Amino acid sequence: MARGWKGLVGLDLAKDVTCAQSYRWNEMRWAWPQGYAPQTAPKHRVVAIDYGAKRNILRCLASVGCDVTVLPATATADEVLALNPDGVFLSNGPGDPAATGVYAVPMIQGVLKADLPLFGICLGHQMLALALGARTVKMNHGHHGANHPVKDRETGKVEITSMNHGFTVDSQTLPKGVLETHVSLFDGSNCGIRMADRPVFSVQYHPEASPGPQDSYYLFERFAAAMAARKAA
Amino acid sequence: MPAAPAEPRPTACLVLADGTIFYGHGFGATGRTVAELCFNTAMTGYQEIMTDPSYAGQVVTFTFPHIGNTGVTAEDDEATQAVAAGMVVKWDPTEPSNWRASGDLVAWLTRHRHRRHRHPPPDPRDPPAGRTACRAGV
Repeated sequence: MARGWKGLVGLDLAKDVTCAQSYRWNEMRWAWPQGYAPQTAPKHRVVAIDYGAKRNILRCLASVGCDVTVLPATATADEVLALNPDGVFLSNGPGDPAATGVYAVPMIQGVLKADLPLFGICLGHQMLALALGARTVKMNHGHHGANHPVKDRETGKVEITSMNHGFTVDSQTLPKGVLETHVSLFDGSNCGIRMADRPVFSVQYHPEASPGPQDSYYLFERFAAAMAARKAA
Repeated sequence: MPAAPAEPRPTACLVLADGTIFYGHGFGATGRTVAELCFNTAMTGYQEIMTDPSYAGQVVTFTFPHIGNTGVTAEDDEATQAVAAGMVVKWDPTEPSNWRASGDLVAWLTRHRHRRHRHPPPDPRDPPAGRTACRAGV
């Protein structure tokens, strides 16, 4: 039985763990003493695509002022844009990004044409990279832990991050106009990208923690700031 | 001198694609699963890890031995159910000691109907020499 299994390469597992239908999310991050509180005055309409999203990602989005509508993994660009979002979020998820990318990449490319702020985490990061023309590869044993050092190449700062990935973006394949923003200090593998001229960015690791350190929470604030700046322009 | 307690009999086994077999002590739900065996080095957060949908299709080997000692609480679920295909740990989960705990890990795993697997302490009669180190790591 073990020998007969072909492994995770080529498997689209996001379709097994995504939500069956869309829903709204308004719960914020846990805080003493009230626990999880509902948000009061959201400022930005965000569509989050659920490839297997962790709840704490949705809570972090709510905490920085996002009015979050979650859509299933198979949502099309037209379905996303019909909700008139201020920004689009691509969630984490399982399996092979190239397999899920078969239907996710056309959606992401459609959203990119609309010139909206876009933020991705983990599988969302890998599929944004695919949509921009890069490639992903299976790693030998991946990164799975809560204490992985990552360097922000633009500020020189080091973040201790939560990680869980067995595939990685091959940074050699990033096209012109897409910058590598973060790298792993364990093996130099790619941990973040952004488009040079637009607020489109993603990270391989988990800024929502749960479990893990919260060094990278600023990325949610950066996404909210990008939506605020676009509305002000 | 009282006799040492008998070794628990293996009630679970982990078979790798290369034919390597590890016998251990099962807990949680019973059954069989086929998945990728991965690992996680986090010292806390086993409940968030087991309910992280990114672990679909994977059995998680926890490298930190004290798994279960903070129990479980519904507040820490990252999805409505455990998504990882199973877990491998070194020691039996102990009684939880945590003011937030609303239950213990073994009952939670049984409820989530997933397959778990714990390794027994090394048994000199059983493991081939080259495998003992692996066992300590599993």
